[in-house]
Amino acid sequence: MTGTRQKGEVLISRRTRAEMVVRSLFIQATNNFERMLSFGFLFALWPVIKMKYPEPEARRRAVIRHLSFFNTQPYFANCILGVVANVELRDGRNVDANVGNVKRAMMGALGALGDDLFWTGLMPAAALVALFLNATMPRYALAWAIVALVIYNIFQFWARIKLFGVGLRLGPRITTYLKMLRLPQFALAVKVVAAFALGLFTAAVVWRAGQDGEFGLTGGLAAAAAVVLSFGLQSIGIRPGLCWYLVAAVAAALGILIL
Amino acid sequence: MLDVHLIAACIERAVCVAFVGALLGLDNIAVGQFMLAQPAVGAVLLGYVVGEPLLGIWAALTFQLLWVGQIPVGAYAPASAPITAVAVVGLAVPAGAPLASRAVAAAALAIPVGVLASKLDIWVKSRNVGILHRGENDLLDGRPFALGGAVAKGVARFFLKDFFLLLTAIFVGSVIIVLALKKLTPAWDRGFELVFLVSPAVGVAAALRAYWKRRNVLAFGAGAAGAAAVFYLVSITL
Repeated sequence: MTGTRQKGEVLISRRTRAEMVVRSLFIQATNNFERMLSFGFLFALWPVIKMKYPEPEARRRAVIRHLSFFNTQPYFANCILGVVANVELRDGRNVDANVGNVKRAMMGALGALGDDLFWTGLMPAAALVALFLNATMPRYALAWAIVALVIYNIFQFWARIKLFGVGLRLGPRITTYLKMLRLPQFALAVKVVAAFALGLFTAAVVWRAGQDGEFGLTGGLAAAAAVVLSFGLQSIGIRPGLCWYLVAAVAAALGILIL
Repeated sequence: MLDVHLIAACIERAVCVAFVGALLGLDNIAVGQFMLAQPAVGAVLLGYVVGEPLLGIWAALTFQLLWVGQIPVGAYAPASAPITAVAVVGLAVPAGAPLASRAVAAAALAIPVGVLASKLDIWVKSRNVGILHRGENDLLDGRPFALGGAVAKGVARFFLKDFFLLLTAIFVGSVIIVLALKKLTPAWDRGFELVFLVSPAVGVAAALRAYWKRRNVLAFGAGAAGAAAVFYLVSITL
């Protein structure tokens, strides 16, 4: 389990790498407003710290080095984890400055990119696929939930495992690799897919409401009107939760008094 | 009045949903983020757990998209969609009223629960500073197990926060819903049925606003038109 350097590659055992990836799943467990993910990051990096610094004083210095503020998107944190592990294993001198520089340089950019790609791109897109399928074929709801899980987790595990491995191998040179992946363009494309799936889902919601035994076509028209009304209300600054109450009140009144 | 069996059913449902919901809720922040907590997955699973898959599907359709693109600013914290959807499934105790009425009444109470869940997330993150300080002191004193201990405490804190919130809200809320629905006339069921049908539309609008850019709107239009054409063809064929 010793770290060795061969042709610029930092090698740690497969088992240690797996342990670090598993530990990284808990990176947000101690999420706090003072230093955000710093403790979780140290928890994930611990196998490397333990291996590289057996002497108490050197280990103590390494711990202090990683207790500073750290915040990024949790999947892309693994990319930084790999790079930092590389720097820890490779750099004898200046490790303090190098680790700090790497973390500061990468966490902001990867945090913004990860939020954009995963939280507002891939997660809604995967969910929308499942929602559309649920709205059209609710009998297989469990299967659609699994479809969404599979779609999403392929990408998130790729980010966690692959980028960690590449970071570990390339160290700070990973920026060239990340540029090559064209992730910002991919995030834009994912949002287009999500918008397309949203279109499918909208049609399914309206169609489904129009199939209702009690209201028939009126139900479909009411659903279409609810989309327009909600969009208008939210456009003038009414928050979605309150918007739901307003739309529900209008629909309930229509259902009780008129339709 | 509520009978003993109904109160027992409310307690049983509250404990079951709060436990499963809090486990799923861990996925939201503390562990993994595998999408298990998202309503499209979590609420559907929970629907099957309580034996009402349609209720879980409706909660997913309504709440998955409702707060997409909402960012906490100042005192405003968007409700937690996962906890809201879980609360809907828990609150809609089957006690006489039709599914639509129970679901809509549950949603009306679940949204404040979701808001409270977000506020409690903020509270837990501020309390975690204590875990951080104790953990780092222990670590610097040469006790490496402090790392694992701090992580376990953080996970437990997030779990207990969701568990007790859901347990209390579901028990109290489900009793209120059962009592309230008993007093309503059948005309109200008709009103609730329409709300049940149109509720997902609010989330659609929220998501559309979040994706409001030219190319996304074109993709949205293409998807909606394509699906509408397919549905029309299916309806005239069958």
